[in-house]
Order: sequence, then C-alpha cells, then structure tokens
Amino acid sequence: MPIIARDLTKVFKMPAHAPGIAGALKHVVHPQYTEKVAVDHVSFEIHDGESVAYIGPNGAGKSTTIKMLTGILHASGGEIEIQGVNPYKDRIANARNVGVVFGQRTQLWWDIPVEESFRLLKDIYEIPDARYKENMELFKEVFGLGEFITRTARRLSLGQRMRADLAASLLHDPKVLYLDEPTIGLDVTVKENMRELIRMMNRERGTTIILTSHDLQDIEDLCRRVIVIDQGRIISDVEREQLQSMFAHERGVRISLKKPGRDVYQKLLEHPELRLEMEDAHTITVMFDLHIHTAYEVISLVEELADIRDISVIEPDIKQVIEKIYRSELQVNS
Amino acid sequence: MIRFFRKYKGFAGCTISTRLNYRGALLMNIVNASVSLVASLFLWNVLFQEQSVISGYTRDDMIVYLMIVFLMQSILGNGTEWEIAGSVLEGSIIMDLIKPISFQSRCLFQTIGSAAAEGAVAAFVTGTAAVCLCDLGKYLAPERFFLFAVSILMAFFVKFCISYLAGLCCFFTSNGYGVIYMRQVITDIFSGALLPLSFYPEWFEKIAKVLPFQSIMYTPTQIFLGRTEGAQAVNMLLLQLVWVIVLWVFGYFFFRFAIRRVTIQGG
Repeated sequence: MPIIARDLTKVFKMPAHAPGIAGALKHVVHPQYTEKVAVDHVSFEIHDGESVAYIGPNGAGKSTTIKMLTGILHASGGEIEIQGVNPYKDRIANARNVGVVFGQRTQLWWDIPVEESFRLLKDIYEIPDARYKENMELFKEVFGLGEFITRTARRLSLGQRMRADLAASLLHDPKVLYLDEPTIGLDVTVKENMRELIRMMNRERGTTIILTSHDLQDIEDLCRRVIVIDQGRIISDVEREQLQSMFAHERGVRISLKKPGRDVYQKLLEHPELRLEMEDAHTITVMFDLHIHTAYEVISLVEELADIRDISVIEPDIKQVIEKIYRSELQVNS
Repeated sequence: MIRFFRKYKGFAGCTISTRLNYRGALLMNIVNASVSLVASLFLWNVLFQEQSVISGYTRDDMIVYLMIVFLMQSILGNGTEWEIAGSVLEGSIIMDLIKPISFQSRCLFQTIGSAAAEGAVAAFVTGTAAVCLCDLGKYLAPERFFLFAVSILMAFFVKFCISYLAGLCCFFTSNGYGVIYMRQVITDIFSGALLPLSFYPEWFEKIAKVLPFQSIMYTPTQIFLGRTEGAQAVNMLLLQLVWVIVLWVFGYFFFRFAIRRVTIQGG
C-alpha cells in the first residue's frame, strides 16, 4: 500500500501572549501556551498512480498534513506509512521516494545557473548518469528548460521558475509527488502548461499526485479524487465526479426576457423554494432544487409571465461545490 | 566515504559559485577584516615600543599571531550560522528536509565552500602582509608547518560544529541576532582571537583551556609560533579531534531534538 495515514494528529503549542508590554513581559517570566489541534485524527489510503486533491480553507490543516507526510513535522499521534516507510523516523529513505513542489518556495539556488542546481540534485539523489541524461532530455523537450537552463534562477520569470522547480522535483523519478499550490501566481496559459506537465507525469509514469491548491481549476483538471479537510478533520473523501453529483441537486436557469422583467421577478417571489437573482433589467437567474422542480417546469413558469428570448442552464461545477463546502453551507456525510 | 563526498560535494561547489557571484561582497569582507587587522597591528606596534616582550610574546610573535587570527577568521567566517538561522526563520529549511541528505553534512559542505572562497583571498592577503612585516623564516620549519596545517583543519571543524549548534538555537529563539552575537563574543574571548590566552589571568586561562573554543585559534597559533612542539603539539591536535567528534555527535542529536519541536514558519 503506497500511502497510508491512520488517525494522524498534530497538536501545536502556541505561545499565548496577553496584550501589551505587560503581557509580553509576563510571557517572558511565565510563558503560557495554548494548544491548537491542526490535524485531528485524519485517515486515508492512497494507491499508486492516484491523483488526489487535498483541499480545505486556509488554516484547515492541509500543509501540516503534507509536512507530516514528507517527514518534516513529527506527528503528535497516529501512523503514517509511505511506500512502506515511516517518513518521520526514516526521513532520508522517504525523501528518495517523493518529490515536492512548494509553489511559494524554490529548490533552485538563487545565484547559480539552473543547470548547476540540477547537477547538485543529481549528486544528492545519486541519480545514475544515463538516467539523469534521459530525464534532462525529456524535461528540456516538454518543459522547455533548454531556453533558460544556463541562466541563474534569480533571472527566471515566475513561470520558468515553476517549470524548473517541477522538473527538479521529478528528476529522481519519485513515486509520489506532492504539489503545494503549484500554480500560485502564474498567468492562465502558464497554469495550463503546468497542469499539462503534471497530468503527463501521472499518466505516463504513474506518479502518484497529491495536490493542495486554492485554484479550483487545478483540482478539476488534475485530480480524480478529492479529500476535503476543515478544522483538521476530513469532511469528505470521494471521487471528484461523485462530489459534484452529490451536490448537484441545485440547478439554475438563466433566462433573458424580451422586455424588462421587474414584474416577472415580483411574481416569481411567490415561489419561496426558488432562489432568484436579477442580473440586469432583462435577465433573471433562477436556482431550483432538482428534487422539487425540473428545468422545464421553471421555464414554463416564466414563459407564462413573459416572452423569453434566450435560456441557458447552469450546471454545478466543482468550484461551486467546494466553495459551498468552505462556506459550510453543505453538510457532508461520507 | 567517497560516496559521501560525491553526494555532498555539490554544496561546496554551489556555494563557491554563489560567493564568486558576489565578488564585491567577498572583497569587502576581506577589506573590512584587513582594516581591523591593520588597526591592531598599529596598536601592538606602539605597545612593543615600550618593551620588547609582553607576556612572553615578541613583536614578531604578535604580528604572526594577529595574521593567523585574521586568516582563521576569514576562513572560518560566520556564514554557517547566519544561513542556518535564515533558513530556519524564513522556513526554507524544508527544502533541505525533503531531500535525502543529512542537514548537518549539507551545512558542513556549504561551509567548506565558503571557506574555500574566502580563505583563498585571505591567505593571499595574509601571506603578502606577513612577508613584508616580519621575518617569517624562523617560523617555517616543515614538520611544524605540517602540524599547523592539520590544526587549522581541525580548527575549521570545531568552529563549524560550534556555529552549527548556534544556528540550530534559532529553532527555539525565533531570532538569530542574539544567539549569534553572543556566540561570536564568547568565541572571540575564549578562543584567543581577541588576545592570546596567556594575557588573561591564570584562572581565566584555565577555564578557557577546558572549553572547546581554544581549539579554534589558540591551538593553531601555538603550533605555528613553536610554543608547543613534539608530543605536546600532537596531544593538542588529539584534543581538537576529540572536540570535533564530541561536538559533531552533540550537533547530530541536537538537530533531532530541535527538529522535533520545530514549527516551520509559513508555506
């Protein structure tokens, strides 16, 4: 079993300062701490070649979990095993199996050519010459490293730096790749480029992908499974499509009318089960529950009141679903 | 051993490249250090006009002493602890922790890199100055020079281990300045960098000799000046070696202890 977490828990001790100078002094003399449970009995299993999004709002415990999985942080409780290795006890053995991209950090040396950073990684991971050459050829081809490999990391654009960082994390053929905000700060086309590279690694090398991201498009494009964590607890762990359909009972139709539709809007308010929104004078969005109405019923209802010019149906996508989970509008039981 | 060296050598190489990228800073470091060297040379010159021997040191002895201290300080730099402090406080240490390497060895090789870059320049400056200022010939017995070279190497390792420990303290203090400046002051006094240890009161000298700091400056200078010779010199080298081993092992466990309590900032 590649990745197993059982009842994984992390409790941080945080210094509790009383406000003001007096509080700061008091803390020096008699320090007090409060305990914060960052990760609370988290359990999951991830198989080889899976692509999993591990998501949650800020401070939910995502990064803390990743740090425990990479052996950087010591778990307060529970067990972890990655490719049969306990990442904390045997950090070095675990590090050989995993690659990590932290979008906000770089593993390139700032002041030396990118190529030299790569050669350093070759030494560190003890990559055989032939394998190194092969990978570098591949990365030059698909990541376009060739165009900037002789430059120092300082002089790369963010997009180039991220591509180089992704390549750096894959140089030693890791079985597991952790991506922490891999597309943060990139523009749309570069994001798309990054995602394509990650997908390719997952598809062609069977690299297990574990992704945390606030960019929901990343999740939609990269991951087949979504684990949602909030306040340190897993609140949902399902296939992405399933997550979508679980919450798909709310649909919407966007209706453009031939004439201004204020009166139509007023009339529709008589149906309290519908959620209405006037986008502009001519356009009304009607959200409804699939269990109560069909789209046809809603459209007929409006048609009785006014002439319709155009209709579009709003399908729920992962973004809306996850945004709702974050806003705790949805209770998930799974 | 070869495998170990091959795995970590890149850290030394990359550090040299980085340092050479900042040629200006490299040069300024040497210039800064030279200014204080020149100041103390003048100071001692005045003192030696009054008497020819002070606490057992002649004028030439003292010049050589200052030169060696200057050379050692340039080689041994303060880079290690600032870099550890920086990477701990800023959190970039995680980029090292996700790699299959020992943090201690990685820091060692990085320090070797900066020592090579700064040491090369410093050795040139010192060599030239020493030849101009005093009669070096009487100090340069080949056998003694060999012992001196070994003692410098040992001094380097001792200094590294101490700096490493100081750097790791930042795991607990969340700030580097206090720890590092304190470490510098203590080392300057107890190693003999400020004044030869024989200038201090006897009780102080005794304390200094049971501490590891004397391995950094005192041992190499005494050997070069020929104040310790033969078996006694070898014993001092062995003492250095003991300190290297003790401090390295201590550093190993201290890191494990520190990392257990770490809360990495940000990210």
